[in-house]
Amino acid sequence: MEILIIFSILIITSIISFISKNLKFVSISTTCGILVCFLASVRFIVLIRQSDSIAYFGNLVYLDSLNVIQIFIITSVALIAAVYSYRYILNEVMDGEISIKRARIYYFLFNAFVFSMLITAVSNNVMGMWIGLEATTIATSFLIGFHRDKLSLEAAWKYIIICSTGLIVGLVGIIMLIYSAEYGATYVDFSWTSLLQAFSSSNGLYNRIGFTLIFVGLGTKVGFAPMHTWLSDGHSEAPSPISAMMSGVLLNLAMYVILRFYIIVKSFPGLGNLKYLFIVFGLVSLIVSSFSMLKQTNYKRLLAFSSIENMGIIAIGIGFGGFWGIFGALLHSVVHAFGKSLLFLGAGNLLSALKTKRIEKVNSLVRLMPKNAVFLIIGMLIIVGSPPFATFFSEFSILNAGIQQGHYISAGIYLLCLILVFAGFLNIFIRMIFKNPEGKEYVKLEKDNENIWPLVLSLAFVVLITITFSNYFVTILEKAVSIIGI
Amino acid sequence: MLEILTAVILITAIIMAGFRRINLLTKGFRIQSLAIGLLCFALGYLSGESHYYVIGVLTLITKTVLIPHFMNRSIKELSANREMDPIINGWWSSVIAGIFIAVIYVVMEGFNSDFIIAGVVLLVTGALMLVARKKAITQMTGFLVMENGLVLLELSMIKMGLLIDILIILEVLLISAIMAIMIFYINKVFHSVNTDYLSNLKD
Repeated sequence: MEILIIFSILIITSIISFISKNLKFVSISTTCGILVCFLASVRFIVLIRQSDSIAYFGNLVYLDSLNVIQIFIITSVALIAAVYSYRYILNEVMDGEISIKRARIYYFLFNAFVFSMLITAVSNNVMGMWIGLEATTIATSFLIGFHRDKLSLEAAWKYIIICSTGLIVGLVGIIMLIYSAEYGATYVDFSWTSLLQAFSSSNGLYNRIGFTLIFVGLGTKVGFAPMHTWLSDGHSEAPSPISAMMSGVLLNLAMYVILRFYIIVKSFPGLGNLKYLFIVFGLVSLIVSSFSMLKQTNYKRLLAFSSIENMGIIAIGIGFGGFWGIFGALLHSVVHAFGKSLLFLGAGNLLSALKTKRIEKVNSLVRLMPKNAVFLIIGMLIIVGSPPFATFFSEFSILNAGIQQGHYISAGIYLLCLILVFAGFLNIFIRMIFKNPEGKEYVKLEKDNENIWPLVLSLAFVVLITITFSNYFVTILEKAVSIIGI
Repeated sequence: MLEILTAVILITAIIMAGFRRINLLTKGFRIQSLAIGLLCFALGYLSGESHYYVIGVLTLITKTVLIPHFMNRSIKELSANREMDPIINGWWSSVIAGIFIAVIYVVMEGFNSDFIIAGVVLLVTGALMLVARKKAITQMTGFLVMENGLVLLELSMIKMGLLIDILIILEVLLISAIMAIMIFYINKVFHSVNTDYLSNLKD
């Protein structure tokens, strides 16, 4: 019943943004709609604590612990972004940069984006997962090219070509997997739960080729290294709340779909070597992004490369395996979502106040915008993996798992890249916040005070996860790890 | 009958890889989609199942009528109507497409169904068109050829439910509409659709 409520409310809010002419009404109705979805996801978490998995509507919707974590991340980051967009879009309309009609299109596409992500997250049908991912490509390509100037159009064109090609390759892989699972059967059952049992007597070659195609194809949407070229442009040109949602949630969701297929294929006897796919692509992503981060001149592009690095860490965690590797990877994906949205929304505040994206033009933020500077420092510490926050524990447990399983060289490269990222990221942010080049006198900007509440909300989520960790959160994570299997 | 249609599909793939004029690309794509639609009808007639007919009708409607209509509307505004200096020359692209067909036939000899091989050929030729060209409209055509290959592959391998087929074709339609709108805007802002101008955001 809750599923019907969520989807019908999202459809209603998108229709409202289409017909209503009043911008404030549209944005408040979007925020309320996503608040209802968030409450429904909290209810799902409570339901999952008691039973291991729930299925609705016959076999169309299937919720277990992996799913429920993703739904929670989607709705909470969407709530934070919706609260932020209210002020952000209102400012842009009042400055005259966009018209009210384009602002309504923004809210329509925002609702469509959340709708398609939720379809991917709750679906049991493997084709439904793929269709949801393709629908997110449709919804976000116009959000990236929102401002319609030269750089945005370039970023949007690269995004749509690269991601659509990747998804076609992924579909070829899915078709191969299903062909080998249902070899000779007359009726093809697409649900994930039945594919899990159908793999006892199937062809090893098809499985290997199919999973590799799925990994490379859907890995384009995750942002693994040779296929990452759209990410740095797309996330730096999109409006800030959309960047936050794409970085924190969409990359995670594509990783979740790859993980579903990995669970199916892993139990087949000859395929124990598939984890090396994860480790190799994760390490290449980590190396490429950590070296690229050192020479960036645009702070939003820096944050986009940091997303690639974090996705590499999650892939390495899944590849290393064992209880601690997978536990660390799942914990990292949750905390990264909130930390990255904190950073992107803070960067959005910077952009609307200082109107420049270049790092060397931003100086002495501690005097210009002190409240934002505090949140930026905290966000940077979360992303880089510094001790009081949960990212330190997740990265450390992944390292632990790597040494336990005997991958010494990979763990060594992983550690080196993490140290590189720690130093480089910290250096750039400390320069932006504390540097005072000519000893000029800086006066606090008026614009510092607005749009702080979404940042507070993101930080509140991170703290909430830490406080409820040993009660709610760790049981859900442990159930999720046991679904993936060791 | 089926072999003739498969041969038409492969020949259009080779010829389209070598085209330089943009309006010929739309015509070639139309012929290819017509051949695939007729193939679906023939398969439905031979095996007697009704779901092949539905896929055939949907493919014909979207890929021979709607998508070329979108492409023509955005092509009308373009000033230059041929590809000036592609990355791989026109004649060499056709030759490479032909070599790919031969290689794929040899590699995939274990499969006894013809359409899987044709599907993979279309995928590879579409990828060649995507990579080796500089104009945005040709890249879009390469993507659509890849989608044609996907339809062939999915016809021969598994039998998908009706709703999923409709949704996949709807997605292709929406993505082509979005690409056509984006090409229109690229033309308006840059005054050309050469993707050489789209490289300001390098590292």
